[in-house]
Amino acid sequence: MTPEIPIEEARWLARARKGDERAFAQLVEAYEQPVFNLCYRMLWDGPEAEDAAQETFLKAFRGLHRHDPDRPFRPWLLSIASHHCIDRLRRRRLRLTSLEDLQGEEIPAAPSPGPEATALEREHSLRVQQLLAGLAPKERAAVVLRYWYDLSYVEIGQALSLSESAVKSRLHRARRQLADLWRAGEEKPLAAGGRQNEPSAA
Amino acid sequence: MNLQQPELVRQDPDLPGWAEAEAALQAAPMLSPAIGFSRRWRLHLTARRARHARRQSLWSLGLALGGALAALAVWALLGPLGSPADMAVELGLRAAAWGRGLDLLLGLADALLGALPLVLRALGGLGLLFTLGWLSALWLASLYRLSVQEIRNGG
Repeated sequence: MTPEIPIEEARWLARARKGDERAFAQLVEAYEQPVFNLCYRMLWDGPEAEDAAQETFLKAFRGLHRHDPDRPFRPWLLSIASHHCIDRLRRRRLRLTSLEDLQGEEIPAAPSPGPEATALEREHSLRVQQLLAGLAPKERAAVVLRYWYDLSYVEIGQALSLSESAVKSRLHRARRQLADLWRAGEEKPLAAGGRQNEPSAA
Repeated sequence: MNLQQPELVRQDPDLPGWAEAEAALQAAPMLSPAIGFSRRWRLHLTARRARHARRQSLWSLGLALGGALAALAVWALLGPLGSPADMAVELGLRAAAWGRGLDLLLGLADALLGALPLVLRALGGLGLLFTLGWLSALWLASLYRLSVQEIRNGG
């Protein structure tokens, strides 16, 4: 059974399918946060995540005729974002950008209640991103879709073009790696700094 | 491997360090882009459309020039292509005529040159017409697709 699509969203989609840019802009506003968060969690770079999110929406707008109106829009959009980020990560690897290059930059302050909370949040955020950065692109995407978007194995499989059993296997491997990384992190102090222009939490 | 997976998934919570890592993932917030994301998206879309329109103009110009050059090339090639064949036929006939003892060859060449060109002319003409027609249709379709067709949803 597919989840029900909100009436307003269905209306925007129908209008956007006819080329109505303003209707699609409503969808952009509605989904900018989940798409951006996915891109940031995947790429760990604020400006690149923004660019990837923009590209995701452009791709979605262009390929809207391929979206099944009876299926929810969100997983379809997240699937485009995931594939786009995986491609970017592969290209990045081809450019031989090492993980070390991605570290050592200062995280700008995000709005928070106080300096102690800020420091804790930043440390926590850095820790999470370091954990994710230790995973292969598809495994990273599976973990993000599972833990931030609460997608089922089937939905993750649809988003990443994998079978349900492949998703389970990848998630298991990812969990083992994350546990190892966590333990390694406990033994070693955190690397100072993180990515530049870290976005704010919702 | 698949048969083992349910067991593997069940084992996940027992992995040392996993509970803490999972708690960290679950506590991580949903991040937002900088304010004005949808406005930037519209600007992005407008820029993309302008780029697409520029590309269409370039394609249009390129195809028009390419088509004109191809037509010129066909025009220029058709003349020279005809004359060597005529010359070859003439030479063959002369050579055959010079060889007095080669009546059989002359007869054969005569039969070939007399009979084949009729078929070849008909087939060649039809083939040439078909090829030119197909190339023109392809050129027109490309011109329409790349230079005239409306830009939909950002190109």
